[in-house]
Amino acid sequence: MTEAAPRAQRHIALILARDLAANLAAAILLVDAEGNLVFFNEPAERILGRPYAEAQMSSAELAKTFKPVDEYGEPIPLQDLPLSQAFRSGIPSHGHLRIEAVDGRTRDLEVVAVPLRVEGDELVGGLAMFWERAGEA
Amino acid sequence: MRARFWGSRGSLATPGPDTVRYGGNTSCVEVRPDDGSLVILDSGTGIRALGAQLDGTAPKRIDILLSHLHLDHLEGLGFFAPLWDPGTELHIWGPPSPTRSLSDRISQYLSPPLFPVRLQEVPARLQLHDAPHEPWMLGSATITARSIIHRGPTVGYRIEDAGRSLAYLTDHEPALAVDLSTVAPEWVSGFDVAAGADVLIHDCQYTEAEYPDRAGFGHSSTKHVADFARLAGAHRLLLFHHDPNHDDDELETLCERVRELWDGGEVDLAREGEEIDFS
Repeated sequence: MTEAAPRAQRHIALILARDLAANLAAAILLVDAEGNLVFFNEPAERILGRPYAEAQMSSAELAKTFKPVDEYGEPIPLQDLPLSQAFRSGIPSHGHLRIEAVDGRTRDLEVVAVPLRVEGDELVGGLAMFWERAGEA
Repeated sequence: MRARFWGSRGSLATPGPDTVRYGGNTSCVEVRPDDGSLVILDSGTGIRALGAQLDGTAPKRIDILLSHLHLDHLEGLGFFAPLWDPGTELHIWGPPSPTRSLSDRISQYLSPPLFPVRLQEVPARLQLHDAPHEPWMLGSATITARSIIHRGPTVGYRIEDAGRSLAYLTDHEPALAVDLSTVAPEWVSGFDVAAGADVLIHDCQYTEAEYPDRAGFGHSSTKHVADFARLAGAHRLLLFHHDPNHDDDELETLCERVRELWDGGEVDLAREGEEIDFS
C-alpha cells in the first residue's frame, strides 16, 4: 500500500552543497531560499564559537546572534550583509565584517556569499564561505 | 498498473551466456497505468524489443521518461519502431539543464556521424519536455520527477496510479560523501521520490568492496541501496543497473548481501522480461 505523502526533501543543489561543505576545511554556512540557516560545517563552528544547532535560525536571527559590524564598529544592516546582497543581486557578493562569536570573542572576517540558483533561474538557497582575516586569528 | 523490464543492465549492453538469467540489455522499463496508456522509463537497448512487440498495437501517444542522457539510457531510441511511424505522437521527458535544451542534448547522439538520421527528421511527431518540478498526469498516472545525485542532470521518477506507487532511481549515488544511516531524510537525494513506494527500482551496481574505487561515479553499492531502502520505507526493492562485469551468479550473491543488510521488505534482482503487477 502507498503510505502518506513523502516528507519534504531539500533541493538537490542544497544537498550537494551540504555534502561538499561537510567535507571541506573551509568554513561554510548554508541558508535556504527564505534565508533560514540550515547548516554550517565544523570549521564554521570553530569561527562562530558554537556547534551547529539543530534548531532552524532565520537570517535575521543569525544577524542578531552574531551582531555583525563594519571596520568602524557600526552595525551592518541585515540587507547589507553579503548573503542578502547575493540573494538580491543574483550574483556572488564579498564583504568584510566583524562578528561577536558565541564564545565571546570578536572575529574579523572575510565573507564570500553565493546564491544557489538552479535551472529555471530558481533560487534554492545560498552559501557563505568565510575566514578570519590575516593577523586577526 | 503493471510494469515490465526490457533492460536492467547498466553502462553497456552485455549479451552472452553469463547474463541470460537477468539479461544484457540496458535500461528500459515499460509501465502501463490502469487506463492502458504507455509510459516508458528510459530508452536503453531494451526499448528495441519493446517497440517490436508493440507492432500494430502501439497507442497513438507514447511517453518516454528519460532519467538522464548517458548513452546506456538513450542508445535504443533510434531503434524504437514507433519513432518511425508518422502516426505516433511521441513525448520525451528528461532532466532540465541550466544551459541546453533537451532537444539539443538528445540531438548530439541522434545526428551524424553517430546516427544516420537527425532527430528533427524522424517521422513520429515528437514533443520534448523538460521534466517539470510539479507533478503532472500521464493517462491515469501521476508522475513526479526530482533531481538526484549522479553525474550530470539526472532525475528520479515516481509513478502513482490507483493508490500504488513505483519509484525509479537508476544511476543514483545518494551515499556520496554522507552516511545514509545517520543523515536526516530531508538531506538524502531521492528521498521524496522513494518514500513509502510499493516498488523501488534502484541502482545497485557495486559490491561494498568495489565501491571505494568507484566513489563519485554516480552509482550505489549493496550497503547504500539497503540503507536507502530502509530510510525510504520501501515495500519491495528491485536491484537495477547491473554492472556489465557481474555475471548472473555474481548478481545473485550481491542480491543475497542486500537481503542480509535490509529485511524491511522483499528484495530481488530486476530481470529482463519480468513483469510486476501492482494489483
